[in-house]
Amino acid sequence: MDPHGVHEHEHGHVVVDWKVLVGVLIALLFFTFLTTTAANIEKWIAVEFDVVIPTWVNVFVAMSIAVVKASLVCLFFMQLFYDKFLNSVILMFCLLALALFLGLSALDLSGRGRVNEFIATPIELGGNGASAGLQSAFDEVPVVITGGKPLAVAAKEAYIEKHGLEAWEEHARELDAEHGHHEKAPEISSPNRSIPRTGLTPGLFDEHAPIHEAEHEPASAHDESTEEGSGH
Amino acid sequence: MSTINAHPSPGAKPMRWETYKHEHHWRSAADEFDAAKLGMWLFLTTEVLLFGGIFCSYAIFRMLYPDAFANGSGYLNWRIGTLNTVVLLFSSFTVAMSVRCAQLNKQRWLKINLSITLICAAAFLAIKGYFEYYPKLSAGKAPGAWFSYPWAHNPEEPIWWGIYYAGTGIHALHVIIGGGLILWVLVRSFKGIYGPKNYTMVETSGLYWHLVDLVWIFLFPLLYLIH
Repeated sequence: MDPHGVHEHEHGHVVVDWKVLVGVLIALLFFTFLTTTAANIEKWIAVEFDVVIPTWVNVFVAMSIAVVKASLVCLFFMQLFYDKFLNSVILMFCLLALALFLGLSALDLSGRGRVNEFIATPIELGGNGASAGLQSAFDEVPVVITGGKPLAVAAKEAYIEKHGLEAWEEHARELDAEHGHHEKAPEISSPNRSIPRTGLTPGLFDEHAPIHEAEHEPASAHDESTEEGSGH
Repeated sequence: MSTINAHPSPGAKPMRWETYKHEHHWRSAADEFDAAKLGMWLFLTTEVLLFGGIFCSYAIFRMLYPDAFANGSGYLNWRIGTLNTVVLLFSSFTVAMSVRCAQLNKQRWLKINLSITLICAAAFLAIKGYFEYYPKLSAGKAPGAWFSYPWAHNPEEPIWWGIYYAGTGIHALHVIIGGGLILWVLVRSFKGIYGPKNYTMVETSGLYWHLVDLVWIFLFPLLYLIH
């Protein structure tokens, strides 16, 4: 079968209308706006109402919007909508391979705990510059040799050694004021967020009565408690 | 709505796209075009798997060290990321328009659209380099063994930075490669090589550029928006 009348048309390929392309661009910009707004709203809600929004909500919303945007780009900008279906099949097969890749890796990771018990080696989380010997590209930063300490700890100590603890603390305070992107963990449980505590309530099993102001002599325990029990 | 200006004034030398002959081992030019496009899609699947590896490492380290990652996204400015997203989306649009212009023999608009795409690519790299990479690297928020930021909140923060630089760095490399392809197509379009009978290179370079945009569509929320 002679596939195309070559000389009549330009391969018979579809010329996408410019209105479609502009429409898709506007849709993509809208979804970009939507995803950033959703993320910011979630952040605001978490701060304003002191709720913990589970991370998977954040991930799900962001990723689903990203999938929609990617579909628009693939279908209309890359013209899969107008193309031979074979190209779409190739892309879908690729996504299947990717799903296998990510899925099996996650499956492996979830079983690591048992394997690690057997092959536990001292691993310094965050790295310790053991690949030292790389000359730093920036002169003001010294060459990395941390002697087994985590990189983050070593960086902090190097700074303190060079500039002093006060300078480090002052800058840390400035950064906290500036960013504030990590809330201090609240000390007290609130209606929206309960802080689990472990251990005993302090002072619960103390032998003596709670020590009040200096006016009370630390007399014998019984006298004190009976005195207070009678609505002192 | 727009006519194909396929017939220049008589006596004029034909443009190179008009005298394009497909390779003789293909049945027709259409087959050659389809095969080129198929080949490009096959290559794009390998690129998707490349970035899939990076996303996989992101997912794994995120699962292992959620605090460091939640903290890490706070270092990034989502406004700059959104600006970069808008720049890339617009460049995707212009490259799709350039394919359309080649199909309709709008030579001037073909060059204009390709130039705009190139400018967007340069803008993306400039924004990333100047507003993101340069301040971060100067502050010591560097990948791997170069990490020297003294105010890290978690000991695992160098992992976050490693993932960040790996993802955005390899993406920036693809932006450079894609920009190079677009530049080559732009230069050749000045010689009248591309037109309705021959726009294969415009199409395939456009596909590569769309992939760059696609990757950024996923990279942006994962790094900047999820906390």
